Amino acid sequence: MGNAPPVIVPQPIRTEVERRLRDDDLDLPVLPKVAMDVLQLCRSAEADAQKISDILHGDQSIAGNVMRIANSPLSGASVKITSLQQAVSRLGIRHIVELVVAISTQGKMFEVPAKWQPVVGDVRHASLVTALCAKEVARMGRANVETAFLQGLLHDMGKPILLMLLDELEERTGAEWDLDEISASIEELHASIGARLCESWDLPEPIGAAISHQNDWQGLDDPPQGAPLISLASQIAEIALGDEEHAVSPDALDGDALEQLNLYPDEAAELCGMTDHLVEVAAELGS
Amino acid sequence: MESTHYDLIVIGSGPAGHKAAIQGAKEGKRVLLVERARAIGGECVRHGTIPSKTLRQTAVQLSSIRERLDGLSTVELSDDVRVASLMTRLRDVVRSHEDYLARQLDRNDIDRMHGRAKFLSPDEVEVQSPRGEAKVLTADAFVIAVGSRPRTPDDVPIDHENCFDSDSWLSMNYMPTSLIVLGGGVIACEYASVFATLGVEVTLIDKWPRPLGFLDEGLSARFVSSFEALPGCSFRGERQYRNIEWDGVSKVRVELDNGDVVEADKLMCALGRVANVQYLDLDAAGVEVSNRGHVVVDEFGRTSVPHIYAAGDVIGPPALASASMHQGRQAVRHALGLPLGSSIDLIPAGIFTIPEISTVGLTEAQAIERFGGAVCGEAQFDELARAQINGISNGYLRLVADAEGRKLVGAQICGEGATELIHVAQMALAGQMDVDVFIESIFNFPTLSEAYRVAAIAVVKQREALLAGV
Ligand SMILES: Cc1cc2nc3c(=O)[nH]c(=O)nc-3n(C[C@H](O)[C@H](O)[C@H](O)COP(=O)(O)OP(=O)(O)OC[C@H]3O[C@@H](n4cnc5c(N)ncnc54)[C@H](O)[C@@H]3O)c2cc1C
Repeated sequence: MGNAPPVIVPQPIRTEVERRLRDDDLDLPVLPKVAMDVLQLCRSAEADAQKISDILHGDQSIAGNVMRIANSPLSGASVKITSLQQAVSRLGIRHIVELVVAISTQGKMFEVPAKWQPVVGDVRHASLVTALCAKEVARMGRANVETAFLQGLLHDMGKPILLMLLDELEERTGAEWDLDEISASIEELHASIGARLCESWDLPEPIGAAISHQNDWQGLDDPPQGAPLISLASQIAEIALGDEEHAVSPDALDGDALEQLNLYPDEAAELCGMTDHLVEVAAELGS
Repeated sequence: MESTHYDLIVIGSGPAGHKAAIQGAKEGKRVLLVERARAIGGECVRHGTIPSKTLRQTAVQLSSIRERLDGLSTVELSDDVRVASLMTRLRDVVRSHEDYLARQLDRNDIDRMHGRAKFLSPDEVEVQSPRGEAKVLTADAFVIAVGSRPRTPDDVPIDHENCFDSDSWLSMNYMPTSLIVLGGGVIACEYASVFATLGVEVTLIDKWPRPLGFLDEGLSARFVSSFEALPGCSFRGERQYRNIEWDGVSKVRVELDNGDVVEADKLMCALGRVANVQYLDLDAAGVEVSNRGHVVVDEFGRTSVPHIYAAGDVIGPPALASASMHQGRQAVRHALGLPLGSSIDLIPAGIFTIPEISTVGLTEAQAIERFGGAVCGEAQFDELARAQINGISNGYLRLVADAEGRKLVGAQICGEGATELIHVAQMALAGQMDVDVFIESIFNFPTLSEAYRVAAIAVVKQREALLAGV
């Protein structure tokens, strides 16, 4: 037996979440239609900059953000980009998918009460950094780089959905929880909800599988490759965002994840060396 | 206290290391196998033979369904078919192979360590785990079996997202519509023909005039014609890339030395492989490395340090799983003073393009060089009942005999089943038989093996003409 105190999830919360998952009765946010359409188009052979920009025109907020990011110094723009088509060309079709999903999750998708808004804000910001770290971990471990971004981006999106559900539950039962009371619940229950979100957005299966097992992969015989990848990327992101004084050190990283991904100290150090730049890119993307 | 001394330490668990470790344990030695990756089996299982052949099997099945339907209905793959899901049984195949290899090690009481080894001296290695923990171990003998990795020239911008190497390629999770493959070797040609068969438009670019240049000209010509018969596929020989870049939108652009530009969704760089010696600190052990980066060994696999052996891809060609296993066993047998088995000359080459190609022994040109002449006989598959039944039209078998047209000295086969069929010739070569053996023997009917008889008759006819002075 380990020494960690047992995780206590208030029974009403556990019962409610389990029921909702079982009955497929979760209130999952919808991916904006434009994002859905871009995802679909990009999976077909017909995707080109013109068609994608036509779709993007349908959502002012997403289109505006794509323009802003295309013109940012981080995307290497030397001349001013003035059309959406040009922006798509600059950023690349595959990156547009990542970007559009990222922009959607950074927007007003998760309506939670004021007391939990800081949590959602943190999740959003950390998710972007995790997504970028996940790409680099994938590159180093020869895993799929495109999938890794979405795995990192969405790995914690079960949390705001759970908070929305708790809000509803509080209203219904008159219970009132503070963050300390429910943090264990969030940690334990968010992964299954996040996986369900990926399913409802029709994302490729490895994304949901990795998100679902991000916290319990150590116990699996054959864990999905993305699960330790998310673990490691989110840990790098957490350290990078947590303490501005200290650089991210490879010694602080989860040995189990490193072992699972076959990453050695020099490779871990290389990953840690990228964090400043990734945090900067994430800030640009998320601003 | 746990001992840190072993009779034999093997570094790397691919085909060479795995067989070396088992050979040592079978002789009652205390053996440690150090492997950098978590799983056993090496590149062969993770990125090489096993996954590429599993993918190929899907492509072959698809193409045979297409052939059998003969235009009655079209079989196409949807755009977002994931490469991973095409390799239907890949995960299971890899898993069961890894389990099987691990069980073999356990049965033979071989200790295993997950970590990266480097030499501290000729008698000591340090093994570092991914967690950074290090352990020093000593042994009476070592086998270096660390294999190889893809060569990635600096001017090919490999990002594992748009431009892949032949290892990271397997992380792709959808089918591109078009693909550029750089290289004309076995790996380049195998992947090019598999993806072409799966409906991808493939451009194969190489600096040599023909791909698979080590083969008989006829075989590589047959490969090119089968490959180019597939829609959108072409071989661009005698072309060097000048610049490679991702266009920032959706295509990788390759500018060639003649000014042509080739574009595709993705690029795979298959420009050879380099030995994995980078972490070993071979200088500390005094082990010599060739100017091509391979560990230098003698005919017994012994390096410049007598108790350190090397086997497999790390010593250079032929860089085949089959040869690596043999080299691993031989190295340990020599280290332990055991009699050595057969020589390695007769290892067949199996090239799993579509159609398959396989060779053993000498080509016609090599035979002429060695014997001052050669007599060759061919059998076209479309003349055989079995090939007609199976719908195999594109293939042939060629026998190479000495200058008198008597002794078999080599065989080359192109066509489905070639890599199995070649073993008949290999046995005949091992037995130093005359080509007549194929005429005197009775084979099952209808089978592709009949091709041996047909080709041998062609050789004998020429021999008789030679004898008659015609
Ligand atoms: C795409 C592809 C298709 C192929 N198809 C065929 C085929 O059809 N038939 C065939 O016969 N051959 C084929 N091959 C070749 C075959 O896979 C190799 O020849 C074979 O794997 C070489 O075996 P090996 O034991 O030398 O090395 P590997 O299989 O490369 O294994 C070496 C092992 O050493 C480990 N290692 C490296 N450095 C260290 C270190 N410092 N410490 C500890 N461990 C270390 C590596 O992690 C690896 O597991 C193919 C190869 C590729 C890439």
